[in-house]
Amino acid sequence: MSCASAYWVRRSQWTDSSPETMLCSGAFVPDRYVPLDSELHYKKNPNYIFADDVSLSGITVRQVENPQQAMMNYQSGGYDIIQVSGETVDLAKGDPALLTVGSGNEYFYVLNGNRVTALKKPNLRHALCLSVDRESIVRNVLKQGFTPVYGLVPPAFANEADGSDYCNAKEDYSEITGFDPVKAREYWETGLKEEGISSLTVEMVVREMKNSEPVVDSMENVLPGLHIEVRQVTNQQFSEVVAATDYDILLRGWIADYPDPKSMLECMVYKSVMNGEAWLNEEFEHIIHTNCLETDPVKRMELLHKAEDLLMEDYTLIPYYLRSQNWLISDSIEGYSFNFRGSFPYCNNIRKESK
Amino acid sequence: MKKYLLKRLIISIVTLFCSVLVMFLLLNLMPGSPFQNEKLSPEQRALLLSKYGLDKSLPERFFIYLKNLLKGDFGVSYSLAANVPISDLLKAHMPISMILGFVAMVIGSLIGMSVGFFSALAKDSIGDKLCSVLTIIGISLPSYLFSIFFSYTLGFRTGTLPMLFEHSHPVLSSIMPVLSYALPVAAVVCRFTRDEAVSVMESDYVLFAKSQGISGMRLLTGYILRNSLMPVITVIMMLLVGLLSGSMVTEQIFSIPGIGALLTKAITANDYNVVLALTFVYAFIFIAARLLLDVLYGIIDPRIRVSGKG
Repeated sequence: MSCASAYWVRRSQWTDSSPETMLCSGAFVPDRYVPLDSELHYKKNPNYIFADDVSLSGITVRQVENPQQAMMNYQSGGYDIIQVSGETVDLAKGDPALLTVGSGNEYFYVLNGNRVTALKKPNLRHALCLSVDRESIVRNVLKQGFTPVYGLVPPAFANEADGSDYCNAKEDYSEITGFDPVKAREYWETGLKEEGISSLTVEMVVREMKNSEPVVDSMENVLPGLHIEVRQVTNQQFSEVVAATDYDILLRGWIADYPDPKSMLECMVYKSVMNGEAWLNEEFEHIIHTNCLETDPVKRMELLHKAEDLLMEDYTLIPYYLRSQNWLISDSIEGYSFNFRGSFPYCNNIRKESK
Repeated sequence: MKKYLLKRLIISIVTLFCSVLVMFLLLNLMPGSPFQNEKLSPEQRALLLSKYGLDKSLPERFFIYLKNLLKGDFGVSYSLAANVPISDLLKAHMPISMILGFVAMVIGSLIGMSVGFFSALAKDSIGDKLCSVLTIIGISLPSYLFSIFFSYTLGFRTGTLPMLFEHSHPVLSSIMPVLSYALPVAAVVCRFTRDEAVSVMESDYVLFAKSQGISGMRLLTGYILRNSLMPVITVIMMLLVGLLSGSMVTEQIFSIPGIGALLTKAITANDYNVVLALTFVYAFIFIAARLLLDVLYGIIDPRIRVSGKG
């Protein structure tokens, strides 16, 4: 079911909490809605323009908090499609029904040099960027079906004017962010000499220790004299930490709003919450703010490539992983499709074979 | 009696007020806000805080909240179901928790009282000892372990029952949650019933009744059962309060859209109003049950009425 199939015209039409007051379109429309219920049911929409092609009479969507419960239900034939998350992704590996989709949700570390001024030094920033063995961490430690990334715009996310993948045309950032312990140590030692210090202590703020512990280990192992103090904050505290730029290194996630490089890059403009006034590049600002005025699609993409180059060449962030969505889809189901985020399957043409 | 009732009522109202005050202060002094969306700019966040009156001073907010509460208005949800009145959320989520809790209570109490009573009658027999072991297991294990056990065996392995709560099959999909709630209740009630019945059977008045030639059903129902069940009813009442308010873990395991699951979501989302409303409901149920018990004690036991006068 696609969320985009239902629209609520006014706020009151949402808060009235009744399917009768909702204005909906698409192949299926809700026929029972209770706020925060664990189950939603959609019935076939007889007014849908292609209603004759819709074979299912309805779809039930369940919200299951416990991933193991969802998995057991799927395995026992209770569900046809489930989203797999957490440790259950590892359990589902090798299952031909496992489908990994979506590329609009990237996690990266933001570097802030406003508290520890040494972090403004390009050599030290570059060393940090080169010290993360993300390939090994993501594949062997996190094991959640994530993909390691090296730039801010992820692969298989946006297209060039000719339809090819944006990432195929862009500069290879492995020189900037690829794991290279030898070069990382060289830049680190040069950076420390420039600052006249022998060690550096920085504070990393995270919401979840699990995903950042291996990164801290990797950085500290590669860079002698680096001490990272990790501060774990709750979801509630996180927005306050971000608003106050109260960190030296911060693990952040960004979900694109639309499949275009600008939707990723604009999160790093100077005044954005992601940047927190930690990094300023006039040319980057100009490109992002005026990019929508460029009507030539080829030139527009060139400008976005330039913006990403500026961002990466200033070692502003350390890309970490792409959080893809993992789904187990029964082989009796056909006709689904996903949007760029992979969050919900579009079920307008879905069919289920009876077994 | 009137003075006694009035005193209990005043104590209950003061307790309820204190619990609302403490919860309000705790939630509002906690770091963070209900608006945690990372994409919100400081200006947008300030606008939302102002819209919901969260930029006002703490005392001012408390008095507004209290004034609305007295009118039965819990406010609206800030972030979980933005702008939906909390009374609507309670109407949708409370009945399921209360029904499941009540049914589990009835089943658990009946099983517990029957087994406990017969265990007392057969004191020191193999059956009594087996019963003691089972009740200790039932009391020691948290109810969510029963939930996981039933879910795995009856749901996943055998496919006998639906693993999650379904609106389309409410009775069938409620069997496992009800059993998970009922078993620990049965264990507690059984233990209490057995101990009370044994103590009553060994009391002087029962021995005296026996010496007077009273035996059989008259002795059981008129002397032993009636007196041994009085303290058990107190325990059942207190267990009922816990069950009516739902179990956060069990509701999550069976995906039951009750108030326990709602509270978990509200705490995670920092939705102050929803958390406050639910804790108020919990406190109200608990205090009302205590008040009812106090009143019943006053009616049943004249000694309490007399001491209440002092």
